[in-house]
Amino acid sequence: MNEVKFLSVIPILLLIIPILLSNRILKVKMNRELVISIFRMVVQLVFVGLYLQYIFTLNNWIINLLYLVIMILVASIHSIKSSSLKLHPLLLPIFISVLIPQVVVLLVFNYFIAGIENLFDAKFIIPVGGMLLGNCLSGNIVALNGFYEGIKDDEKRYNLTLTLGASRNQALLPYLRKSITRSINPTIASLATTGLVSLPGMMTGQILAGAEPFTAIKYQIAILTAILVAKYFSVLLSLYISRHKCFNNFHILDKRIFI
Amino acid sequence: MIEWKNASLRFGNKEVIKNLNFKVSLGEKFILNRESGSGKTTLLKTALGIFPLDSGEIHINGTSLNFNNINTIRGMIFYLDQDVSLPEMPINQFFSELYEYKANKTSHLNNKKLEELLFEFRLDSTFLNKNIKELSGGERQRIGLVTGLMLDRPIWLLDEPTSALDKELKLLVVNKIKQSQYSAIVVSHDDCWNNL
Repeated sequence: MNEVKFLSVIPILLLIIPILLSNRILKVKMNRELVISIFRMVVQLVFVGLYLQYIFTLNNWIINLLYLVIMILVASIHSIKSSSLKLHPLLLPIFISVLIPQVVVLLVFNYFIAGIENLFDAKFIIPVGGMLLGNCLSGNIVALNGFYEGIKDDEKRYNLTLTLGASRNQALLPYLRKSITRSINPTIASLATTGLVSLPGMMTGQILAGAEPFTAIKYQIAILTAILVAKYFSVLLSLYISRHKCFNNFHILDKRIFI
Repeated sequence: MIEWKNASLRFGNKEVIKNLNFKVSLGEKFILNRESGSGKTTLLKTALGIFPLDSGEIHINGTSLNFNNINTIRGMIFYLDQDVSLPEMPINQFFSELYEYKANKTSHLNNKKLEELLFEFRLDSTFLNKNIKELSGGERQRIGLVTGLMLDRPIWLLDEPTSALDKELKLLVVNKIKQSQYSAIVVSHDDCWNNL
């Protein structure tokens, strides 16, 4: 394996300078945000590296699980806030909706693909969990936002469907279909072009770290499928469970859920 | 029969309905043509649970409206809003799905009756393939009224149901309501309803 010395990342960071110059000449106002973001990325990753090293050495399944739960909690909070919804009524439903598919898919991955004895091994549960969560997060933001904003914008039609005799679930079905499609379609599209248009990050990382391409491919197929499954069920559960908190007893959308 | 008993509703500081006692008996028709912004549409929506009352009760055919019986109550009322906000799908699909809705499952789509009503409302059967989102205001209003006649519910709450119809069609709608056994409340500023 070619070990990348830490300071050797500096030349690639220096390649940012031409971007800053170009922006200055073209008067594109993004240099401040760009520098802050790069700085934040480096600092955050250094800290992540330090505490991950500690957690990996410790490798206590309770701490690993707790770490995963905290990751899920942060992802749930972020997905609700990014969907312009209030945290209070939705945190528990969204947390449960992310937690269940995440844990099930992770355990399947660790047992059948990684073939490890300790299913909560830090080296697997944290990085793979992070990849799944990142995708569930983006999927949930698109789905929650599309679903509740969609009903709000289409309120008259939704209400009239109820008065025509539809149950709440029947009236919600068109919005549910649309939200699932909108949030899952990008994943399906990227699956179709994987290997043709781009090599996925995980596979590239493994090859750079010295793994055989075929081993990298096995993990990549598994992780992409795991992402699809975790994302789909997290979106579906989020919409199904959260609706209990977002409508009044007469099945009318409670607009107090919006920020 | 539909009755509001001591009904009150407030939106923030604005009292939209204040201690209202109002009854429309079986087969009775009532026109609401007070000025805009006086809460007419809101009143209709309270009967469907879209705006639950702050205090008071609504009785529909003797049953007090509450969240346990809301689906049953909605199944007794045909409501048509000003914009006729029907689901955007082909009209034939809309009528098929209409009878899959929880409150309508006990009845079946009568295609012959649908064709006759479409004909009466000057819409031929090829119209069924059109998507609702492609319809003009008047066509949408006609489909809305045909929906009501198909569902044949005992109570009708209509909000400006003839605003986009020509004189002949207005007369048809007024006569249909007049000759029916429906209890009806019609919100309209249209003169055609004066003869109801």
